[in-house]
Amino acid sequence: MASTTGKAAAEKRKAVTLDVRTLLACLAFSALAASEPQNSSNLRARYGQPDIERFAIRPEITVTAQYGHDGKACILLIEPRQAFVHSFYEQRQPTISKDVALELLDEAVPPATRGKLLLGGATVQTGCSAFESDSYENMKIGFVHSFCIKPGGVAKVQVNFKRTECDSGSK
Amino acid sequence: MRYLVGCLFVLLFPAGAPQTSVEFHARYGKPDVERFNVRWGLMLTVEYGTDGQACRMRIGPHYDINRFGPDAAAPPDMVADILNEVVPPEMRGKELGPGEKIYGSCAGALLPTEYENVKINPYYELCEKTPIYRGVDVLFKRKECQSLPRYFR
Repeated sequence: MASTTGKAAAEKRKAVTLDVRTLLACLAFSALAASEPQNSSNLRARYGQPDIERFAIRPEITVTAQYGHDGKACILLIEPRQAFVHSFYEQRQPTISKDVALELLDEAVPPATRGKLLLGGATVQTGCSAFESDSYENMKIGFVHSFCIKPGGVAKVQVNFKRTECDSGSK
Repeated sequence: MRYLVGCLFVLLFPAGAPQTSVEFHARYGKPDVERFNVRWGLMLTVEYGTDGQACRMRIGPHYDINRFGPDAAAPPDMVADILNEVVPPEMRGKELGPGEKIYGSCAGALLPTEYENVKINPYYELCEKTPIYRGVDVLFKRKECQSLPRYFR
């Protein structure tokens, strides 16, 4: 009888020890997980699909896509790689050559997808930068030229699609 | 097999130009920046390091990327709520106190707060008038984040 009671008590102690160990392991795991910075998978699991993504289109050039409610790109930005999250002080803006900008633009939006040219070559110049835009049936394409560092540089190519899903901003 | 590969190619690259997130991923791989709509019209922008973990985050109002920045001010209590959710105190490490003024930040801007693992910097716009609070930036101090382009330009 005494041996049975002893055995039961030992088993209970073992179970409690296991529970405490499991609890400690869980706590340690949670603390470790909480101290880890976030990655794309856990942010997507928590907040859903992003409305903006940026990709390396060439080693030092990026394309940023802002998607509409239909999941298709509404705005594309092609520009030299730079900090996306940055302080607002803009001292210098890196540029790419016009030839490279045109090559990447053709890759992102081939001429056949643009539709008919409605208005071309509208230009506005301010200081050492200029904005040139071409309006097509399906999109508006803008070049931000910067002459601040060297002449002929393109700081940014901007494509705004004209679909109705893009009228009310991003998703 | 050839037909299958052909069909997959057509599905992934319709008309030669990527349009959707899936098509961009198929052509260019993983993004290094993403922006999420969290709540209350506030967005979480994340810039990842080479290890795929967050290196910089911005919590602030929505704006279209063809614009310079948001028009709206950010409600500080809502920003703080989201900040505590995405970078909880245990992730930040020990608080070390106020950091140095960020080069180029507005006069009258609050100083960043330094922690063991992160720097949290409130950001503003319209420096020439009363600075308008736009949200916070979180800068992670991991070595994988050192190769990112500079935070201030």
